[in-house]
Amino acid sequence: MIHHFYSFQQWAGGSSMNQSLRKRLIKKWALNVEAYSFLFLFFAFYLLFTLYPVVQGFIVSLSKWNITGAKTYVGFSNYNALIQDSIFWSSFWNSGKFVLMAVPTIMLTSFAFALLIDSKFTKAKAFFRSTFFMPVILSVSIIAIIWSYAFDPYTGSINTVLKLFGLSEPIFWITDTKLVWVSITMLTIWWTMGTSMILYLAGLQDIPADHYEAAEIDGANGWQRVWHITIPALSRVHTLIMFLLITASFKVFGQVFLITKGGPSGASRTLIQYIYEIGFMRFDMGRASAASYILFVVVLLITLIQFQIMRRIQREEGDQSR
Amino acid sequence: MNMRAQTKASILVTGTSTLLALIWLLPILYTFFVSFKHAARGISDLGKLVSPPYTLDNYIYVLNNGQADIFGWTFNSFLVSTVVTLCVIVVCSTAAFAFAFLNFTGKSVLFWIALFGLILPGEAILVPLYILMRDLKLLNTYGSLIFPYVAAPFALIIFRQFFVGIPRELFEAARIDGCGSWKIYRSVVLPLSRPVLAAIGIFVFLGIWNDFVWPYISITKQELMTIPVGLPFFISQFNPDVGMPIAAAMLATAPVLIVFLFFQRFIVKGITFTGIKG
Repeated sequence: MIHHFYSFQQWAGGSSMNQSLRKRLIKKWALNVEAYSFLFLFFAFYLLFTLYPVVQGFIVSLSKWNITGAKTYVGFSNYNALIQDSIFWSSFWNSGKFVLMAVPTIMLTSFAFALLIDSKFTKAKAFFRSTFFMPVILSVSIIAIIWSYAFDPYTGSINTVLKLFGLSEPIFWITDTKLVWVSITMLTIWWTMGTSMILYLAGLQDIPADHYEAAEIDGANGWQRVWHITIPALSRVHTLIMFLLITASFKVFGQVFLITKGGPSGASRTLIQYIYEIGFMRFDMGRASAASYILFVVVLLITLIQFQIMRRIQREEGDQSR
Repeated sequence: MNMRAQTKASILVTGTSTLLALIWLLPILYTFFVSFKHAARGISDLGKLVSPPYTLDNYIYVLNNGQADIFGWTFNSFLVSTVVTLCVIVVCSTAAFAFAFLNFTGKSVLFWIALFGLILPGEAILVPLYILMRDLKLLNTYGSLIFPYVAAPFALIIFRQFFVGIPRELFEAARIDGCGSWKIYRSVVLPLSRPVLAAIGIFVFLGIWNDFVWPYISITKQELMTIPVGLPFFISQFNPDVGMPIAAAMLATAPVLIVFLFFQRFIVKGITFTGIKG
């Protein structure tokens, strides 16, 4: 109705058209001002503390700068130096290796635990859920202290318990180059598995009961039901958890840094630790920024792939429900 | 399935869960007992560990040690996490309101710009953020622990998603009653959004509570440290006997555990909500 009224006025022509146009512009301006009043704080903080650093970081990555003196433009030579730095590559590979180790094991453990808690035969579900989830709320420095102690070869809890089961020689969990990432993965499963488990539990609630009933009539046993019904029905949750874990694992830093300091002899130095050392111990801001940009690009690629896959799954699910 | 088979299955599954729960609790329980022992380095026997004599010396030492300001750090962690949570809720929900209900010039461009932040890992801007904070003279202030987290794109997106689900008629009806947008935001949208406010609140609070890298870089003054930064600082300064860092860790864990036991229902809901929508 309002629309018609305006167009009629426009058609009526002359000065009234100008007036209505002005009125509309004023109204639009007022609407914009109102909307921007809602957006102002967000974009003020976002501009200053996110977007500006992103641009600044790129400029610094093209410079030679020790944070106190003057910046000199050096083009892409920081990136070049990175590519030739074997420590950069080993740190990069360490983070990648951790992704390969942590993502499947955390997914598997959290899924298994969720099934266990969700099972109709399990008593005291709430207790088990809280127990398995609880480490998530502990901060990284606390779990670092707890696990540094647990990993101690002579007095740590792990070896002490294994001794009860016949371990004769102590295992050097974090000082053995071959074992250090296994140990970090173990503690990361223990620490973070709860989040994925909660997501899986939520996913399990959403599977309609009639899916299982049909399978039961067909005589499928427990494992077959998990394999043929539960796992495929959760494809969206699997994907979500997998990508959450991939990006989180690639950015691994705190627990490794606090427990091993990157050792033994750099075997557990992660990409973030490399950035930290170059930037905040050697104050080579240019190279640290270049390494940060490489981290950013890797995470960006992972996220783009994730969006593609999530979209496809959504489309397929849409097809099925039709 | 008959009764016997059911009982058997129940025992099997609950038994497995109990065993796993023991394994899960082992590192914490073990540490807990160690914190009540003298010269804990020497103990490598489970029986000796759990049996008396116990001592409170580790705790007394930590509580009397000026370098181990556990309560101050816990206070800082609570303060910073609470302020960031409140800021995120206010700042991001208002912006989300605009994206969900209002029309304005540049809407889609601004939305894409905000989406960009969703992909950007915070770790990738550590260096320029440090430089910025240094230039603003904000290093070693609460500001450096708060400001970078206020504009949280993921919170904006989840708020918007929730707001879009609110029936538009409510918005239009309030408009016809002569309500301005701010009034609608306050008295129509916010009261309907309690679940999403709680979910985001808990998610942000936990994230800031556990945040490590940025506080570790930006805070070097002991009295401004949060728990994640303070504990490693205490250990690195002293390299004390093992009982002390463990006692310190236990003291720092206690308040979180208590909060967790009270709020776990909400925490679990919050993670489900943000995970599934996000």
